[in-house]
Amino acid sequence: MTAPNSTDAGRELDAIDFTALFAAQIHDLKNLLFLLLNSLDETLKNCHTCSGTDDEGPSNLTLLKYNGQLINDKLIQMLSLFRFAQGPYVIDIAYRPVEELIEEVVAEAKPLLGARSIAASSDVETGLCWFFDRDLAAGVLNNAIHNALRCARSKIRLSAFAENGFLAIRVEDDGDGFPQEILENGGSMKSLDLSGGKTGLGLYFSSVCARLHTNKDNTGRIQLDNGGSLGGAVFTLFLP
Amino acid sequence: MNAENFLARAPSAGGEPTNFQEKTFLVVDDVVSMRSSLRNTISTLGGTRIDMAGNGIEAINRLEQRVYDIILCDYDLGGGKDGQQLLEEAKRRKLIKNSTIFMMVTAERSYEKVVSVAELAPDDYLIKPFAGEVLRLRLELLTRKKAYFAPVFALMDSQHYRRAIQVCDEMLKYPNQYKIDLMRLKAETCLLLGDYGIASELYQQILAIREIPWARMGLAKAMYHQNNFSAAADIFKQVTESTPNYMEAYDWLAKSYSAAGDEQAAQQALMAAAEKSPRMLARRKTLGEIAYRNDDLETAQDSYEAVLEFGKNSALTSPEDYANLSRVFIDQGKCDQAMTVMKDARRTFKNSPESLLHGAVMDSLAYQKSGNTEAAEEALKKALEHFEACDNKQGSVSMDIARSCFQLGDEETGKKVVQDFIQNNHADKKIHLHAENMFKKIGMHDKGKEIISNSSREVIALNNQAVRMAQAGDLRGSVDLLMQAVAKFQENTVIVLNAVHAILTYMQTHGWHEELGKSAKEYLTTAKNQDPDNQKYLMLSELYKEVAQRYGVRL
Repeated sequence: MTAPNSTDAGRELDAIDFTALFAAQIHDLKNLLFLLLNSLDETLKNCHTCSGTDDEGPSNLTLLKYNGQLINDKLIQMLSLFRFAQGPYVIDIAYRPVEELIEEVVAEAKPLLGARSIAASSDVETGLCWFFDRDLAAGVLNNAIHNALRCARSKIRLSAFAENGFLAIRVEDDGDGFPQEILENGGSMKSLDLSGGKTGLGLYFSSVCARLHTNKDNTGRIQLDNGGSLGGAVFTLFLP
Repeated sequence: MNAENFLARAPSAGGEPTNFQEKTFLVVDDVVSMRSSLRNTISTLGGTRIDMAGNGIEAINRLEQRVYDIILCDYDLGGGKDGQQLLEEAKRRKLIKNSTIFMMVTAERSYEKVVSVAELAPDDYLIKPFAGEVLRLRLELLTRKKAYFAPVFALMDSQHYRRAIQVCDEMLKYPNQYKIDLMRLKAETCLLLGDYGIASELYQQILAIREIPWARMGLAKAMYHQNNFSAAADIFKQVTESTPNYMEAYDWLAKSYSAAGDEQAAQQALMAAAEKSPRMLARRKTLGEIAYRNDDLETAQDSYEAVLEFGKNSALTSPEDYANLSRVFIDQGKCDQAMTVMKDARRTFKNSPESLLHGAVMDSLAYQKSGNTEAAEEALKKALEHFEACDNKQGSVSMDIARSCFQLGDEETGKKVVQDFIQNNHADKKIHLHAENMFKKIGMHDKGKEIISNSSREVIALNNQAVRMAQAGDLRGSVDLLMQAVAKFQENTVIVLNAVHAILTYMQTHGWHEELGKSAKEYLTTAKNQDPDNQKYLMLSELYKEVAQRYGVRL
């Protein structure tokens, strides 16, 4: 795209700070998405009331919801990375029960699980509390769950436990597992391929969020494996 | 209350589901569609008693009429107040109970960054878009958390701080998810009561577990209160660098620099904060004062103008704020502007006595500056009449009156006004600086210094004598002396509180004394009216309760 620099409009456009503009627009988009998803929920509720059943509603509506969530994932990732880059970014660390976090991301994913007939199970050590940034952790887990939903055949599993001074939160599915190049480069700058269709933004975002968590000499990270208890992809978030 | 009760109350992940039908909700958002969307979400949880407000003013009106259980408030409320300012006003005016859940709603995290580190933080925040289920989970967690902390907050509300600390200790005996919150609450209460050593220890314990900005801040506050200003300043500086949005850190940094005598550095710290968060009125006001003392009239003007501009329609400004700006204009020789500002003040405050007083005295200074002595004298005469009738002679008005008197040749009245002002605030460094600065401005630097030190001499001597008597073991003599001092310097909060302290110390060893107990109580009320946030007042009213309890005196 070439800007018509010789015209007034061109000069005006040159003066626009596009990074700031995009950030502000993403902000507005999130507001709009909130309205959209809420009226979708309303519609789904009306469907239940009309049909008198308790299923998850017409699958096309639920699919709409799933795609809405994916859009939100992307917006969160872009906006967050933008803010990180603007720096200095200070995470909002607090001591919380891990169970609460897992409960929340599962609740968020519930309609999507139902629509795809995928069963989710979770296994969290009772009373396990940790220091972490709730929003960043939820952003990472939502992204992992949405990835798992896309690949799972019938099951996904969340688990959380403490290990060697780290909190580990794991999302597993029973799909085909991560492709080899993602296993090797997922989450690194190398995985960011802006020219291709899939950018790998989600995993990169997750890795940055993990690394923003530090405690004394330890730094957070993500780990990708295949196999695990369900035989598919295994995503693990480690927080110090 | 015993520990088992707390254990029983300790939340588990399950717990009773909250019945939202019984709860009253207030939704605050400037966008109509957003309001109705939030209403829908609440109704999917079963909530029915839902009120709406489209801006901060409407929200305050609602809060004045009704007590809400749950408030969902968008951070961004269009023009006027934002969600954080609404929360602060509502809390300050006690329109929100401790049991009320205040949930901030925002589309973006960077807003929240400002919010979560604020001293008056919301109970929680939600980032849009969010699912109704998530709102339900959050509200249930918060309801349980509020219930868990209710006994502590009830004690704090009734100012039984020592008991509140004991209850925190009980609760801390058992492992629970609120361990860090409890330690924080206990540490903050210790700071309030002047137990700085315990507070430091707690913050250090927390920091050993995890580096958290508020714990680092707490540690530095304890240092500040122990007069370790430069060490405190180093830490506050460190916090502003590692957590640039932690606005409170800038205020404390400035306070520490000021206390250490470095007013230039204090001004720099506040200017950095004002740039990041221009709408904080109290900070801008402090910046104006410091800049004025530093003779940086341009910054002082900017700051005071911002106070008036952002404070418009907020009931947060006073005639004094107008006088502050007017004073800067006078020093700059802009006499017309100085008088226009005071005209505004009288109009805004509908000729309230305070606005007439400030108006008259600033007018007299402006007339003097422009050479109209006759009009200046006329205005000063009016000002003195208002001043005579005024109960609360705190603040800068005394210095303005004195300045006008000295400049118009009425040294006697000027001296008297300064004397009273200093006598009533003999221990307040800032007020001494303010007075010194005023004398410097009118070319009476040396003579002014003498007046200031003469004014505080008597009160300091009385106070020191009382301290010496107490140290020598004559507690009763110390009490009598300080009670005489109170009779003479009734408006001096420090003296009033020292008298309370002496009485309580005496009664601790000699038993309860009906008359003295009554005086102590009266003095406490006086001090509370003069300076409700005085830390020593809080500490002494706790001590009063303890002493009374020890001797079985019912209050």
